[in-house]
Amino acid sequence: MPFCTEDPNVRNDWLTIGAARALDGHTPQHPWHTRLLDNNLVAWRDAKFQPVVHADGLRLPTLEQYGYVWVFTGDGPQRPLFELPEFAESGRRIVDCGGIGVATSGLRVIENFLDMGHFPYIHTGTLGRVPHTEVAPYRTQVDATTGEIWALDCHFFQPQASASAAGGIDALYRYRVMQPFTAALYKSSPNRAQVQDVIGLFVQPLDDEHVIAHVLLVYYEEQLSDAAMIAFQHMIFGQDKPVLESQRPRRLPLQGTLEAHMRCDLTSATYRRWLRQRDLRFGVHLETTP
Amino acid sequence: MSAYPLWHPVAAAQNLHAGDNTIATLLYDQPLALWRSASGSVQAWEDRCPHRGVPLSLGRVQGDRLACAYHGWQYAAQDGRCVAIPAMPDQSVPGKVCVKSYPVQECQGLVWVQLAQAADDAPPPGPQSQSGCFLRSLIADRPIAQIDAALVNAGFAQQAPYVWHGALDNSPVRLYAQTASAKWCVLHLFGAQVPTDAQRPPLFAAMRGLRAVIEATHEV
Repeated sequence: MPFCTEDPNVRNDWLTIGAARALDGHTPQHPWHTRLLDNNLVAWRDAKFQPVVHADGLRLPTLEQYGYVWVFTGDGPQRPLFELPEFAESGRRIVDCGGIGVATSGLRVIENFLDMGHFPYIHTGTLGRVPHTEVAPYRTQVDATTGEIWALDCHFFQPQASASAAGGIDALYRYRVMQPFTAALYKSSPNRAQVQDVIGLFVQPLDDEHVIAHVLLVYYEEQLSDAAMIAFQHMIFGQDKPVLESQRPRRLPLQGTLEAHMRCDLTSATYRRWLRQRDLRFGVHLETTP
Repeated sequence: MSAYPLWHPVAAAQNLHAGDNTIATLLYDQPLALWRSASGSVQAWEDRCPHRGVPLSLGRVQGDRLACAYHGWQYAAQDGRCVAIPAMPDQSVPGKVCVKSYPVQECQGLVWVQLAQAADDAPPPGPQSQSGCFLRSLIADRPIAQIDAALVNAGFAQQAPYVWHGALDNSPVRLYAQTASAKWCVLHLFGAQVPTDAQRPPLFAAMRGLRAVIEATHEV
């Protein structure tokens, strides 16, 4: 079965298929099954414990990085995967929160991850609380070397910024978009001044309107159990999921006037422009002329 | 479609409470958000926030405004203009941010909507007075043409577009047909009088029986 898109933004780039440990114990006879771009994948580990991923009986180029398996479905040149140096910093906890299915475009999922304005309404009592609704001015830039988007100088009042936060803080945020379907958030650590915890969001696109969202925590955290950290992220994601699945159209509109942008939506507007400049088609709402 | 300029029944008016709830419904497959402002006027809007496409029926009525569930953007009754963006509390809102609102009227205990503004300002069909007691709304999983034919066979008389007179369990009733989708409809049932507790179960059983007859029909 062919992959469902020829979009080079998707085919000629690394896409995650989930946590690497999912492959442990699997063999060619009893492979691990997943889906990507409307195609069936089978995966296992070979005798050298390397990941092997097949689609349509053919082996795909594979990376194991940041605890996840990444595959390359195209025939273009293979760039290295994005840098995430915090992953290797000593003292950080690495926690994979598992994949959560969401019935919408992965671009909607990334855009929601980049948005602070919904905190008081969707994550009431943790990431925000009315009347603290203001999104103070911040800036965005596209890194000339990596081509990645950065949103800088973001801050937002948060009643409980993470599972271990004891009280409200004005949380400092930096957002980063590495690929159309991967992003990271750097936020004030409640446990250490001067450093930031990192949350990675790696979206596995099953098709234009269905994804598995994988969440990785790279935290300075010594008290909480993995289960408590995962539970907090699942609560947050569980609040986002019904909103994401209610949005219409499911695919992200990049052109036209279907959706309005204000200054508080600068990151979203930057992301959409960045996708437009790449001529992204996959997961995008293509407007039909009236 | 030429049927669009007509008035369409979309909900029982008594189910919209001033300054309180929303109702999500469909008319010709178009999602509508219905609500009633604190000052009492009924609103029928496209069920999509013009900011990020979340249904406004998931939002909250705040006085004479409807606030989106996602970012709290507030839209004013009547013209649907965005009047507040909580993420930018000190900024005025550009006038172009607006929800599409449809012509709406309250009549005979129902909310009526036009998807396209009619050339004249004729009122909704049927008697202008309240026509008895709202009983319930039921989905009938058949297109409007099949429902019309089945109602004729069941002895109902069409009084006006979408308005039917007949009897269920020997009680006079009126049915209003809402073309929710090209494939299915909602039937709003009104009784001539308020039924007693003893009359309700057989009346509703008769209504369910009528729906079963409708849904047993095949495409004509």
